[in-house]
Amino acid sequence: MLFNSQTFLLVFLPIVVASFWLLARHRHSGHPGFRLLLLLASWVFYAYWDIRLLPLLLASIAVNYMLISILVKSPGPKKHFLVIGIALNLCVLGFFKYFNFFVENLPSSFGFDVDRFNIVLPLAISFFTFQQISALVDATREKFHRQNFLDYALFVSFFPQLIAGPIVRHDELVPQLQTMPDRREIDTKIARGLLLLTLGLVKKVFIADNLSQIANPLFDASLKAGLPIVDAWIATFAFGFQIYFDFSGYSDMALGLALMFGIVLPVNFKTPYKSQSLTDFWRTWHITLSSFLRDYLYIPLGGSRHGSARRSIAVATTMLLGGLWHGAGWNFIIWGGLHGAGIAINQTWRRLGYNLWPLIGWALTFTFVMITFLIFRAESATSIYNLLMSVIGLGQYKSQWAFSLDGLQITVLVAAFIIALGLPEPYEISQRQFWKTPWLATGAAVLLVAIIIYLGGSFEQEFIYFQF
Amino acid sequence: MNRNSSIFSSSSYVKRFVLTAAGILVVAILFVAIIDPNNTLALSPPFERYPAATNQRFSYPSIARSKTFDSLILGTSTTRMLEPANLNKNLNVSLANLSMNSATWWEQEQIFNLFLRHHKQPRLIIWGIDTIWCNPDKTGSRLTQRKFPEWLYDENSWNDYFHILNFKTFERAGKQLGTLLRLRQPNYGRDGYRSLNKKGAPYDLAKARRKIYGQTAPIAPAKALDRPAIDAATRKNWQFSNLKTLDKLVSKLDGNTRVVLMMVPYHQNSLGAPNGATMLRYEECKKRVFKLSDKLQNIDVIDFMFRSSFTNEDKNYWDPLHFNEQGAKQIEDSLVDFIAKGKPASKIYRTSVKPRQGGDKS
Repeated sequence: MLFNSQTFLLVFLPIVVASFWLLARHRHSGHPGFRLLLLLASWVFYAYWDIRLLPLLLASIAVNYMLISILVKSPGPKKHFLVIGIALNLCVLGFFKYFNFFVENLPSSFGFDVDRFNIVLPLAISFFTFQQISALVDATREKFHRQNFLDYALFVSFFPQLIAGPIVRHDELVPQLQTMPDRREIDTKIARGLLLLTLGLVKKVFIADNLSQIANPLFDASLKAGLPIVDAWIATFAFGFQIYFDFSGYSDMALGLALMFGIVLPVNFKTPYKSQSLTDFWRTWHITLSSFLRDYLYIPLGGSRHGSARRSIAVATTMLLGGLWHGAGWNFIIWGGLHGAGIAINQTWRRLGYNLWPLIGWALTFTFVMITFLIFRAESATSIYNLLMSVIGLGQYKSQWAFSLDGLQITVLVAAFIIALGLPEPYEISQRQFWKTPWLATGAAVLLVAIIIYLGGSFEQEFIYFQF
Repeated sequence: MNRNSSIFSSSSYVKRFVLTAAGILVVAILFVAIIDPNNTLALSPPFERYPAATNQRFSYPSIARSKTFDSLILGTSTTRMLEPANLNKNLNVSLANLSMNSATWWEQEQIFNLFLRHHKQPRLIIWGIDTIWCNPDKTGSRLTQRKFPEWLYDENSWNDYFHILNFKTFERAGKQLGTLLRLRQPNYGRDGYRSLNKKGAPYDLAKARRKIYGQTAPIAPAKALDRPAIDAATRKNWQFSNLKTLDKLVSKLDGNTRVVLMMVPYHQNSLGAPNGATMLRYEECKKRVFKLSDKLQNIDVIDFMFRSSFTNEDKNYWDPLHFNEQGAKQIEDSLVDFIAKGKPASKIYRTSVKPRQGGDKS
């Protein structure tokens, strides 16, 4: 079920929220009924896509819960259980996500026929696998929060964050789930939740989906030939903003939906396109993934404790694997590798004491991010080559072919620039006392209804990060 | 709810938000449910509705269910100009014209099946046979770029409620309301007919010729090629698989239904030269259609798709594919001559002639 669907917004969500708060009238906070209700709702939410995917999620939860219980209870050295657990998770992820890619890249003499395997990627597998790996690692630490199966299953399955994050740490979420609903300032939380849901939908439905209409034909064209330089830059900006509004819109909705149950999820975006360096960009873009990679990969690889050379290797490795996490494709590996190299250069530059004017720092960072997103989005090596040549004006194209934008598309592109570079994130807006303005409630409600009605007549478009 | 902003709390905000959103949604849903622009909902108030949607795929299901009609014209826009009111009296039937613009074979199948479910023994079916059915080696897509509402074609009128909350349906509900209040003219008649010249603009021969020839001066009919552009063996191997579908569909009808497969009158310029690829394709298609009709007593073919005084006359056309009001009159007269009077041929049509048992059934 997509957040941006009438089924979700008019049927699933009202039923679940109403049931939750009706239950809250009769049961004290912390009653297991709340967790049971949200767990069942989350499994319905997941199974709605394809019920055949549910057993994998349930099995993954059961096996990881068992391993965590062993890790928590076992008094002796725990390392081997942890290694088994991580290996098991990575094997499952590797099989579903990377097996086809691995076989495709084997020399043909090995005789594998990739079509024979036809493995379907289970939705959200990257997210729930990483979340559970972090729980396994945390379980080896002394202050691991106690939990039962219900707590753990809901921690993994909680529908606002199940499909595409934010990637939540065990200690961030489980204590909240065990004591919910937290009735302190609950009306404010729900008001914030409604605002975040509405603004997230605006980002997705009105901006990202319209930008995809600009970007898709240009990227499709790049599979065969180059583009005129103007079109290449339109493609660059259109996709660069599309992925930001698509993913940050999803994250806003996830935060908003969780707040409707009084649950606070970590922020995933902090106006990343305003960043003045690549290091800053990764502190503000998909923050929960960056934190995961930092804590569970970069630091164990040595982090910054063993000199600059080791640090650069750690950064490069982390970013390469971060790229590969997005998908089984060379474009993601190159994208991750370029960002790793960029961060290493950025860190070295800073250590040497050089500083750029903020505007130049921003321009360089923004351009680098946008261009590397071209590689991220491209579907073939030919497309990457064509696009990169085209942005510097060397694309081979038919002179008659030029993409023309209509009025709506120009408006959306300009609005995307202004919002991404000039306005705060919805999360920041939601922390202000906006709810003291009565007309805002009316305006936001009208906007939400308009979006719901609009969704009734459009094709539901999935979020880009659902494929990862 | 306290309207004083200085003490407007988050609780008041949530209440106002939820009540406003719920209020608008309820009003919006009630508006569409009561007006029922497509005339298909389970609890539809009994208004005398007209087809409100411009996309005929939404407008025609309710006509197909209507007991007002016992006979059907279907096809693509090439049969849209046949006006039921001009045929009903002479043929002693009550026709609906549910020919849909660019309708694929699959879409025609859906509307045909729907009509058949609600009319167990139709009296007459006039089915326009054009390029959609005469595709020699492909079936073609099931759908066009136009939206096709499958839920309007089933027998469950409750599931239609899941599709009423969108701006397009509101627009149609507004149009339906305007028509009910007689503030606007309906898009289509209750029998599905609407002239292609909706605005009643005066006929412009020069404009028609530009569409037919690409220029205002007429071009003489192309001379026959010395030898066929496509050899006989290839033509024999053409599958025309859509005609097999058509065969299955018309075979559902029992002998009480008269079926007339009408090879549509494309302008001669679009048929190309004799022995040319286009004409060979249509000639082969015609052969197969005639063969199809031979199998069953109640199926006839009327063929307008050849060089004739009709298809050579530019004044009969809007463009190479669509005849105009003047042309429609001649085609309608010909249909009456054939169906009601049994006239086997004229200057502008040919038919499959077979001895009839029990005379004219229409």
